[in-house]
Amino acid sequence: MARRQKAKAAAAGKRKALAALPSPASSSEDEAPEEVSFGVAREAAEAERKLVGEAARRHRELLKEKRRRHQELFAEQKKRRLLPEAVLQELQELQELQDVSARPAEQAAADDPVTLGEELEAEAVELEQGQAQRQGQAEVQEKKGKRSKGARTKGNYVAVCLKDHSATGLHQQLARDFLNAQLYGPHTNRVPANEFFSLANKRGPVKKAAIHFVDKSWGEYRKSQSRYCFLPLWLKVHLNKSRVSMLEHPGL
Amino acid sequence: MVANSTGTQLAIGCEDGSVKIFQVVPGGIQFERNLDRRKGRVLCLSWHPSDTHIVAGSIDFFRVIDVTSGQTVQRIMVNYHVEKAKRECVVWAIALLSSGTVVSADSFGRVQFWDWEQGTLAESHTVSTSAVLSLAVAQKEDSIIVGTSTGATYHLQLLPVRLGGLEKRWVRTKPFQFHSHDVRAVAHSPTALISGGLDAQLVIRPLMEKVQKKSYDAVLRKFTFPHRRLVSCARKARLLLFQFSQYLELWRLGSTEETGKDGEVLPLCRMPEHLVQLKSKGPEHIYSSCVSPCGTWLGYSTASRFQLYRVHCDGDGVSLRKVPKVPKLLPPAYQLQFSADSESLFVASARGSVHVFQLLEPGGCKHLHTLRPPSGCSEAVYLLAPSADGHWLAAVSGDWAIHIYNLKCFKHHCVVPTYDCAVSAIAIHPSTNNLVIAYSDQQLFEFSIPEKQYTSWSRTVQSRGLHRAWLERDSPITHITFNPKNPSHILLHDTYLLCVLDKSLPLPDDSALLMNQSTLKQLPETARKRQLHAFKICKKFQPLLFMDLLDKNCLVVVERPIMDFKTQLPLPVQQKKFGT
Repeated sequence: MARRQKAKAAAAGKRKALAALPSPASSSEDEAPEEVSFGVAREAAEAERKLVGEAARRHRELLKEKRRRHQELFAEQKKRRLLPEAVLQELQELQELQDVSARPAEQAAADDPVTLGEELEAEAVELEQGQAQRQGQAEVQEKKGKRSKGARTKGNYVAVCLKDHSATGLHQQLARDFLNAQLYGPHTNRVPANEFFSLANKRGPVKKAAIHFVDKSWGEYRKSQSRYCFLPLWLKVHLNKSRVSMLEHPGL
Repeated sequence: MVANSTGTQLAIGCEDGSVKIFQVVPGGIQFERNLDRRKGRVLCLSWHPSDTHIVAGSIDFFRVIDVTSGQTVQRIMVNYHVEKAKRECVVWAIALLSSGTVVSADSFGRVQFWDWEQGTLAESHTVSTSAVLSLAVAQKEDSIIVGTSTGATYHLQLLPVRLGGLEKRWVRTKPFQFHSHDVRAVAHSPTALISGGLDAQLVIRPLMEKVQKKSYDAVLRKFTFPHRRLVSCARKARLLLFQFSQYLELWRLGSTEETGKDGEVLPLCRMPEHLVQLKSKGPEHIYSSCVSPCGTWLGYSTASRFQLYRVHCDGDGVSLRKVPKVPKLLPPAYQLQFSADSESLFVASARGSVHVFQLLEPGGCKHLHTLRPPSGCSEAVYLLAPSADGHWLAAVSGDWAIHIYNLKCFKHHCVVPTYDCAVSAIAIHPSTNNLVIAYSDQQLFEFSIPEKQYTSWSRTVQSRGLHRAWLERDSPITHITFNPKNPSHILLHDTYLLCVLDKSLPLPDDSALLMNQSTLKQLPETARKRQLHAFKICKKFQPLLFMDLLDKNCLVVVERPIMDFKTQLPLPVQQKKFGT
């Protein structure tokens, strides 16, 4: 698809160059047709091709981004329906051992009308601090109480309806995608932050380098990457060259 | 979503193309009915000034709906004259004038004026090559401001074609380039044009023809940082709490063992550590946050909830435990402040009331008392300042009245005499219990709480007047603090400077230079004594978010360079400059 687009762009470029030449019917018969040098026409065609290629690449990236976000959204929704990994594992381990002792405990735990969501999130905070064990067990027991449909315990428990994220989340995502496509899509003339802010550095009275060199924190990782990739290769090439030359001229 | 002119009804345009009308009732909104639904998402709405019609802008067209019948009376294609439009024309903003003219701003950079009854285009102005995103009409409907995605705003005015003639036409008069990123919101006040852009700037541009005299109001104002305190400091524990919109960050400051001369940068022996990042639940922004001076309690509030946490730093690890069963406050908490001994928490609430909670040791919170102004107040409290000895509390409410409460008997003590300007910062001196007040017109007052009157120093300042350069600053003081070693020092800061005010030194008059620290450094000792005045200003750190005194020798200053966040904003539109 890229090659076809490039060919189309090249053809468009040539057509533009041709259009620059006035058609013989329109001009008066005395004047010779204007000459447009081949170099100029070729540069115009290349510039056009490059611009279109750039726009097409950005559009493709935008689509890829959208597809990836949709995938993530679906995966997240699916994950949300299932309980977190840790709890599932503990459930499996403790199911046999604590089946009997869980019954009275889960009644007590279920009395506390705390929403499932809050418990989960409270647990998430706690997990980060490394205090999962105690809470995890109480959580497991309450979860067991809510999940075990077979043995219905008589006791006061509160059924809580969790917020339904599925439909509204997708609508919001679609709306956000629409806005993104309209404001940052391929036809808008967006430019990366580095180019935008470096313009001031280059046109000021004191000329400085582009922002991503002046600002030390920017792009540190990529710069370090390129340094590590490039230097060993350079050394290898040049050391080999000097070794070869020394072998050929043993007198030196 | 737009409300009608009387504020009784709310029209909401939805993704599926329907427009819903809601009734505004005390306590919320109530669904009334659905208006006619057409295909195409509704992107902008506008009521007619007499509330008879609503115009809804969509993709490639906009339609006018009669409110009483709910039917679409006119549908106008915005792109009709373009044969093979390569892309769709999105109507980003729309307005309905009382004369029946519809003003639409679309993604091709055009502002068009339509007569909706006839369905014809009266005028079309192409103001930019990129999309026009926002539009605002003046009260008198003779002036419009539009904002584009290149960051330019344009002013259109309805002017007579011939001088003194009756026929009027819309003309694009003034272009402004105040922003570097998209301008997503504009407003038109009677005397100024206001625009807010994605580059985190709010710009107020007064219209010169409406300004009567040369005063503070006639100046272009640009705001980048909010006029509130976003950083809290736990002095004894040397912790800083940063409030972002969706999360909080707790940092421990580093330290150094070395000493050096003025202007040197000392190497750290212990680096600053990022201890905890606490995310707030839900989509709401965090409204206020605070950390206690001992560093073990942390609280934050959003529009619908209020959370309190207990912080434990044991060795290398930090743990946060949420305080359960925090008493539910029906109105939201507008400001949180811990007392100096970390035993109580003050929560500013609606109707001028301040709730006092007692913090219990292992991690609990009990409501002690609610302080209310004696004559009632309809506005909420937005600033709080407890005294260091725990005896007094000063609270500023939205009607600019400062009430002082006695905390030992929970009674109202006195009210500071009213001033016709909003308060931007208050603080109570630890030893003399004087309340220092900074108003948003840059005036400074000092009120003695035990004596219930202004201090003599404050009267001197008022009679002599503050220096002109001090009064012409354009960002308000957001924090006031004191020096425990020297009771006559007051430290204040705004976005661009920090100042040590020495009450024992003479005040400068208008002829002296206000920012004279650099000249004083070069003078010999004797000449320096003659030129010394009370305001010692340092402009080295800009833009400032916070400044506080940690202990005898340390001052902590939080600076937020603008380039640090500008590079992370959404992409700007390319601006073609000559020669590049």
